[in-house]
Amino acid sequence: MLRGVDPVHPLDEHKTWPEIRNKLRQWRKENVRCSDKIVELGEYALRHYSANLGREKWAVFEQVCVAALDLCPAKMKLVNLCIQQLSEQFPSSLRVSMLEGLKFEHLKKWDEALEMYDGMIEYEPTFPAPYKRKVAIFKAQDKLVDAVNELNRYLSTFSCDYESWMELSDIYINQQNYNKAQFCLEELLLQYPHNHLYHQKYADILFTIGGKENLELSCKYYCKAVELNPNNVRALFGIQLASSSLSTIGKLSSKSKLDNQSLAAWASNMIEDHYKSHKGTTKNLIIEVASVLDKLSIK
Amino acid sequence: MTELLLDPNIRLYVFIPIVLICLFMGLIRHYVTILLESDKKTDLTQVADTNILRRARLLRENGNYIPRDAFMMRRHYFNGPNGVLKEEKTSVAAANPMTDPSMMADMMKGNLTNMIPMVVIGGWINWTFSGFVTTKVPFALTLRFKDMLQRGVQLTTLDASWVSSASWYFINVFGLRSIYSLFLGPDNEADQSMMMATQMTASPGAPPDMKKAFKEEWEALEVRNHRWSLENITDNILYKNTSLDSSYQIASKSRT
Repeated sequence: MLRGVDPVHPLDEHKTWPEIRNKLRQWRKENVRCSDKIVELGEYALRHYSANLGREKWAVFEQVCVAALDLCPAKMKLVNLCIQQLSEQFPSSLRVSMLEGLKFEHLKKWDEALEMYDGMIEYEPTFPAPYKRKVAIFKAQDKLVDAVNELNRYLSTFSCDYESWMELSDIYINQQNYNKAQFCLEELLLQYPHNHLYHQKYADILFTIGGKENLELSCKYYCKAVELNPNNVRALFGIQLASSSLSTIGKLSSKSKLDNQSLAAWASNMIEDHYKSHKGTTKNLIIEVASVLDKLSIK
Repeated sequence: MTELLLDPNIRLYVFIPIVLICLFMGLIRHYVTILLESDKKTDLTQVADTNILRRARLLRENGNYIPRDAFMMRRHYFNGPNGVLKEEKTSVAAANPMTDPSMMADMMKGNLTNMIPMVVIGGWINWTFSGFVTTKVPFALTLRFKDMLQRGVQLTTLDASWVSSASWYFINVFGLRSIYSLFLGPDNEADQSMMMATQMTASPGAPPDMKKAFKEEWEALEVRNHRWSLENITDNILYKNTSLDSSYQIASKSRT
């Protein structure tokens, strides 16, 4: 359940058939993970509007099956029903086998699931989904080394899958292998160079690795993140920290020291302005922010 | 410019039937092509190669956003002595349509569904609806076209704009393309103009393209220089006060 979202029963909101169908379609398109709502609405649709659904029925079956797996073990009967219906309609289908593999995963039968995915990979090596599920299984079993190996093997073939690069960078950060995480973020930057979050994350990693060049680089990438999205307060904090750390390193020329100090001051002003102009800020918060900034800036 | 008055029966029994025949033939061709389509098996090396090309292209396009060292490292990976783009691609000899059975079958299916019905129906229409003019094209044509477009009618004085039923059939074949995309969605199999274009260029398929594509990508990456886009970003913020401050102001206005 998302925080801040009212736990409204979707059936109270959407009662007419077109509303139900459109809501399910929207959830399918946007890949939203509100499993309890999907199960409630989807089950209702399948039970009462099966004829209206027509060929969309099978897509809804798949959608409901995946959502019900999230709510397991309560909804195991529903999962089994969906898989049975789908396998009758589409015998020897890869997508149905994926659902069966997911079921094994939820029952924590890791070996059966791995066997299933290995079989699928052998049958159709160009279908990317089983590789990713194997990585997910290794992560669930806390076997991060195996996960990394599997992901690397996957990426040697499917080298443009930004989702997998993201996952790999997260695992590397978990293992504190920041240099490799930096490499993965560079791949992401090549694919989506105008995403301010990737620039900011790259700068975070550089800042964590540390060292003079990396601090300078991270300062510049934080600046780029702010340029792309002026509301990115984390990046502003990053500029403040990076530039004030740089201004205290003895090896820099006096010009760059001054530059860094003014950059840090500018960033502090920006942060204060942000908090002041934001609607929900109280006076106490502003005072706290000012004191934090004072502590952060190294004079 | 003689004004001819055509028998209204022509409109009812020739004009509209040709349109309907053309339309239904297109729809039938679309579904038959889908039924006869063979499974396209892609293998893993093809997928890997496509992805390598894509990654090299991304490096070329967006390389300015990553630091110089990162760019050089990746360029070395692609173009260096053991580089990925310099791998010897085994040139597949099956480019020749005569030797590769599956490609031959595909070509035959393409011919069968597209060329033969067109020729057959064109000929039948010419034979059935001959001897009279069907319609007038709205623009003036020179006398040269008379021979081509007025097959059955041997009148020397008749304006070249009056055309026979065979030419009306050809107009339909090309004109109904947009109607097909209305019924069947874009990129449908009833679209003959694309078929004709591909047959003229006679591209033999994926494998030789890979070798050429790799070489092109290698060359393009070789000449690519790296100019880091973040070089002067701190100076821009501090001294030149570029778009950053103004965009910040825009952002804060939208919030209050």
